[in-house]
Amino acid sequence: MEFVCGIDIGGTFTDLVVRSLDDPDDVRQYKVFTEKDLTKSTLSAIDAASADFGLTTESFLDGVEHFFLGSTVALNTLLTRSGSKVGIVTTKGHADTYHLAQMARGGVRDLREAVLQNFQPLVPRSCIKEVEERVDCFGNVLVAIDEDQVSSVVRQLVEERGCDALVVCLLWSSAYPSHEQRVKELAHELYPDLFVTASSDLTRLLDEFSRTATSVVNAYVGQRVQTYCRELSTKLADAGLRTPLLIMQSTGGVAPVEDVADKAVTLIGSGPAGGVMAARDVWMARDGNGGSPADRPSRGAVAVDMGGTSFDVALLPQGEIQLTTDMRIARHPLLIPAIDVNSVGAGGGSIASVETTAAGSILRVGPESAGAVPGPACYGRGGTAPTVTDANVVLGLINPNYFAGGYVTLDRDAAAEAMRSVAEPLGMSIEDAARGIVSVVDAVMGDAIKDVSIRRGYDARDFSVIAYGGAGGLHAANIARNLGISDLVVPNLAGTLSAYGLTTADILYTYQLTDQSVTVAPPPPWGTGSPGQLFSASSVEHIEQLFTGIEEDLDASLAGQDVPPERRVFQRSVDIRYQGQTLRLPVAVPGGSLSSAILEDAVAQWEEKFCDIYGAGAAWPQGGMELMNYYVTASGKIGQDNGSAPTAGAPASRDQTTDPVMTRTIYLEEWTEVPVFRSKKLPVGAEVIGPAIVEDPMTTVLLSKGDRAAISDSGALVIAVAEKS
Amino acid sequence: MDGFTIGSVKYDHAARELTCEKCAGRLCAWGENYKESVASRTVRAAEMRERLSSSYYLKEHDEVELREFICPHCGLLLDFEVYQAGEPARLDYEPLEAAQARGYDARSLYQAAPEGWITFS
Amino acid sequence: MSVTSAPTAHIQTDPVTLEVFSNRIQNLMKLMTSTLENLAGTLVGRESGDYSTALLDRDGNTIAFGSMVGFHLGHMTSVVPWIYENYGRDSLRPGDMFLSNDPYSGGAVHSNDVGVFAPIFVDDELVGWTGCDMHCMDVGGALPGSFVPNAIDVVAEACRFSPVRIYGGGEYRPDVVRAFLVNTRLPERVGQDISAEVGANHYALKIVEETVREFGVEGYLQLVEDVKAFSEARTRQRIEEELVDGVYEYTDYEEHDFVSHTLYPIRVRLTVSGSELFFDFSGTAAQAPSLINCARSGLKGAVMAALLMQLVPDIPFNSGVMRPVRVFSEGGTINDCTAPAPVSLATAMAAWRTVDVVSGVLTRAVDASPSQFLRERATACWGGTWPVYVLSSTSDQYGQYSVFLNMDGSGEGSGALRGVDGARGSSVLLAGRVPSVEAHELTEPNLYIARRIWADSAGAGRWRGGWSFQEIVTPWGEKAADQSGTFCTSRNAVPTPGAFGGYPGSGVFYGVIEGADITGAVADGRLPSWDDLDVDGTIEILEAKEVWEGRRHLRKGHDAFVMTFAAGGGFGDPLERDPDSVRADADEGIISVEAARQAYGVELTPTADGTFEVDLERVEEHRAAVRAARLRDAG
Repeated sequence: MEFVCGIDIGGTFTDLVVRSLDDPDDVRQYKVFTEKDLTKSTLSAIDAASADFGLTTESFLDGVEHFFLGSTVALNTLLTRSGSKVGIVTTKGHADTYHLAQMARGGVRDLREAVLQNFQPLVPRSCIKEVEERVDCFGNVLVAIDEDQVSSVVRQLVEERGCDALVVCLLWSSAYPSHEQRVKELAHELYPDLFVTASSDLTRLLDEFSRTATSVVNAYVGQRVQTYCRELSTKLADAGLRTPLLIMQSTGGVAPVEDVADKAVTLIGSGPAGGVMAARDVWMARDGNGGSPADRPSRGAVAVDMGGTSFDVALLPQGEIQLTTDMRIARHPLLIPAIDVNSVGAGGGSIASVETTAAGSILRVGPESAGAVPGPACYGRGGTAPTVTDANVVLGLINPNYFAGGYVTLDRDAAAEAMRSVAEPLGMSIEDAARGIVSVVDAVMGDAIKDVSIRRGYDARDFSVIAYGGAGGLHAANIARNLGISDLVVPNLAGTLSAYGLTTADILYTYQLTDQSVTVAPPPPWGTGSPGQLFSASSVEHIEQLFTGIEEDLDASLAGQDVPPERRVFQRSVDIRYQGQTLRLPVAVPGGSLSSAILEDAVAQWEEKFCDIYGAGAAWPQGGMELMNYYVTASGKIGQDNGSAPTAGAPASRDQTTDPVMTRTIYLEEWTEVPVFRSKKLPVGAEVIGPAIVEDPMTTVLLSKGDRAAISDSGALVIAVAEKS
Repeated sequence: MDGFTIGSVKYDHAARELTCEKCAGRLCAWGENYKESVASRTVRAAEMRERLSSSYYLKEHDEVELREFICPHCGLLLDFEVYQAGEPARLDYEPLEAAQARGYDARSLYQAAPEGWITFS
Repeated sequence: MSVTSAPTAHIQTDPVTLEVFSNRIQNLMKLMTSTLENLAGTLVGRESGDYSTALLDRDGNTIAFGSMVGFHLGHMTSVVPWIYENYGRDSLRPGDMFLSNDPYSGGAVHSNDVGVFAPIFVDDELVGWTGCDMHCMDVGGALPGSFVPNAIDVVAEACRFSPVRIYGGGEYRPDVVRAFLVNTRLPERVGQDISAEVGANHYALKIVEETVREFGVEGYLQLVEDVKAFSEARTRQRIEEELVDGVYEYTDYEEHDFVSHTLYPIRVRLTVSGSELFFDFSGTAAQAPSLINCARSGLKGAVMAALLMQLVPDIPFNSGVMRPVRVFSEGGTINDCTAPAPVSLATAMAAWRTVDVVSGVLTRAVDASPSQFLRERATACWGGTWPVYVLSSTSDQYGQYSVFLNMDGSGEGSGALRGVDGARGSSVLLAGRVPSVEAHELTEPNLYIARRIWADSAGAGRWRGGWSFQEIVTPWGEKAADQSGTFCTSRNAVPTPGAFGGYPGSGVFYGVIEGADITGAVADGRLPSWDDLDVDGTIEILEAKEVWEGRRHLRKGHDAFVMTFAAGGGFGDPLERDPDSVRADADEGIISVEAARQAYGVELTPTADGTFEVDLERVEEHRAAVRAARLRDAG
């Protein structure tokens, strides 16, 4: 037997999803507690899977074709500030670039919060050294690099300052990376094993501070990631795994672990990636039973993940992952692509409170969260503040004895008691107060979806919602209804969806650089631009060279992973903007040889996209346009067999039935008895009409009156959401 | 109202006095300006550079005075303010009654001529 | 003893819908401000964040406000009443959009703040307004950048448009826009700024319409009243329950009016009485003969700016917050000047200083508070200036006529607050960032020779102020020409005040090093460092206001220009600072060893690896000696 495995190592649980390549419908999931020794919990999940398939661990692993890994090791190293001691080599006169940190206050209105949330450098000033060299804004060398000085400062950093990782970020390496690369070579001549990141290894986008910060994070977490990956690889190889571990990156693509340590920063934002990839897969599979993509019910998917503390939204127009280079983690700007995820502080743990004044009251929910500790009051771990989860328990929506697969038993009385602190000042019953909390949090989440779609120039009503995460199913139908969205899917495996998503990923490498030399003249009467001749032959050639230059490098990386040429796919895009803006709004450029006509077409597409987002009145072609940042993503298609959506897991259980397993009294407008179904027991094609509850161990789905859910082939709950009355 | 603290000065309403937060020494009576009774001195711009380093900059200006107000009991620097030469010491806090007693009452001024005041809606 | 007015209205909306609406309009502000950041035409908007957005009610009162530039509220709240008074409500049609930048008719704080405002109609019913404000880099007038120290009135300063339609009934009016742009030196860039504002407003028009359709016109209008009523009630509650009744006093100074280095005190007395605040600016200096004034909209905006950040940062900001607030100003003063007084640098000077003054008096009031939340918002002054340097050059590195405004002053250090040190780069008014060297060099004909943290700039204190930085540039580029410029600083002789014994931050200056010969050094294969340039020895420090007007130039590659930016004041007696924090600051080079000894009373001993050690047992002895010296010197 051959398998594909996806393992997602989280703070609390380690999830393993195993897909049999022999039987595409056979997808199984395993959940174990994450232990301090991560390899131990990984192996215990694998042992469970092996036993389930009736194999020894060794023969199970021997049959694994691809082994995908999702890990928060990079992020945790950063957030717990437990990384390497990094030194920085930079251009003479600019040692303080990293500490000046663009002196950004950020959009914090409160004076004290603005101070408390200030940037906290990872490298002290004493570990930053300058070297004589200078390049100008055209990429011309003004002052050559002083190699003796380079060797001397590298020695100082390593031997006097005790740095065990080095960052090289020089001014204008965006235009001229050779000086940086030379410093790296010289450092390696002195210390062959030293971990060295040149900023141009990661990105050549403009802005030396963000490049420095990106590189520092990379060097800071790199060695921890390297050790972690090596240990895990070795243990798995010892246990019988023959294939390299592939680790999930922030882009939703994977890279082999031995390749990724030098670019560990690409893992920082990988947390949401698995879920988004799975949601993409779910939506892509919605082509009406083998029909064409045109049969899909919407223009794309909104992947929404509602957990305990945050609500993460990613938009997938036509199923396409949207990347951004504007990611910030703990105020470190990361100038590398990541899936564009809008995260708002709303989740099951969000705390409700009432502000009462002489004029009246307001019910606030979040952004404060009870988190996992102490957690909602109903967890019985000392939390007393009323949370969204408590509200759901009070309303009877969550089965106190069937929560998180029965791992946690909930205390309904504690939830009710907590709710009192909201209900009393509002003069409401605790049920109505609970309903109020749910309404507020539904609105916050709906606004987050709307915000994402509007910022990308889409109307959310044209999209399907794919909802997952522990609390997603309870809220999703109402959120969709509020937004006027009619198509909702709650995938099967909602509790291990991230792990499933890993198994659908391709190898992905990305690179990006800034080049500001190509401008597009404005049309008359402001300028001399005339259609058909907007790009000179030399501009076309220059652009083509920029793209092919990146593609050659990325192609070599794919070749290095034995991806056959026919499975290497390159995608180009470029930021176009009206001159003077900072807007990053990339538009796709076709591969292969370019012409002015092709580029003008890209410009036209860009203008259309711009107007969809900002309105026609925001366009200002009079000032001309410029091309600015060039991006290439290179994928190695290894997931071509992975087309099926997450399925019902182990073969259908014998006791399938369309009947409810019980009824429960829940509070809608009043206490109402509704049927409760177990999704595992519902046969494919079965239909459930709201009001009803559909439960599985990891998630609960609430259907309101008029909502119609059907069990799809993959075991997902596909819901036609009733219109708002 | 028992009292409150502004900076390092305790305004003790019950005891009708102002005291130093660090040493509890009495600075002045309730309703008075403590800056008029504590130790004080003027610091010149050049002296700031001497005290810090030549990296610190302040243009010399005849009309600018930096004034230190110091607790006479323990030497705590209670305030360090910028003044135009010759100005009286600023009053951090004055009880409403004290202000009224010397003829200042913003609310009455407003009520007497509201149209002379700026409002926001 | 005090008289408390009852809140004006009782909330009709249920507490759930009120929160839903409150969140939605805050989200709208974020959407609009990010649009301005993305689409602005120059570094001023896109990097420094000198823009704002507002949602207004039918009468022009604020419902929601986006951005940190609080005094833009002066413009935001003045435009609609002006339009009603002069054009009449009945003149408005759906699809109208107005441009406004006149300090006296539309209420812009200075003419560079070009606003775009649109009435919001749903089914032909006026339900409110949306507005944006953005600092455009040049709006014409006598000097590049439109900061004109030698202008004697506002007419000489810049091109001014009282509110005028750039869209009428949904039709774009290119004639009007071109008439405005022809007056600027940067028509393409300013046109881009205006379009960005149109784009931001388009979101408000869309989202408010959807919201009105959801709640109905009556429901929407009620929500608008209720969010104001709620914020008013919360603000009154805070004033009444958390502030101590009394009169608080504070003064700060604007300085140098271009004619002479005169001091202009801005005085305020704050009366806290019941649930109301009375700010009385009596005694403030008469208006100046030049650009450092601000008009009444700037004064109002400055009061709002300080309140929203310091007293009510947790309460949704709208005009309800301001209902318990009254302000008295004698008029004809530096922060409430009379037309046609010049105001082109109001934002950096009198309006900004008024923010500092209001924040200073609020610091006394919040420190007296029994509420920990408020006490923790007692602050020393933040940077407190934004030095302005506008260069102009007949040819930049691309061979184009160039005007460039350096906004790096927005990276000033914050003041220290009770319990925490000040932060790097936290402007009290500008939310943005200091552009990277690459962003500068891409768009302006300068070579940035060095940028560095400015040691000892931060106000010393038990809690230290936020440090600031310095930089040196020279005109650069094969095609570039020499540069002329306009230079304006304050906090030059009047430093950024500390609080309650905290030292003031360093004063700010601009300077020129003539004959630095960068070109020659580069030809020799090296760039001079800060120390190589012997800045202290060779610098010519400029007057706090200078206009070169082409009579003087920075010579390309030959003269170097030194810029310094404001640091934050300290909080509390420096002798009370934790000695280990003093050591850590010295290790990082933020303070000098001399300052550690003399200001902080901490002797530091250098170690082999360049860091310092402190003998904790001797600290108290040394500090006792400093305290004794203080008392001795005070006599």
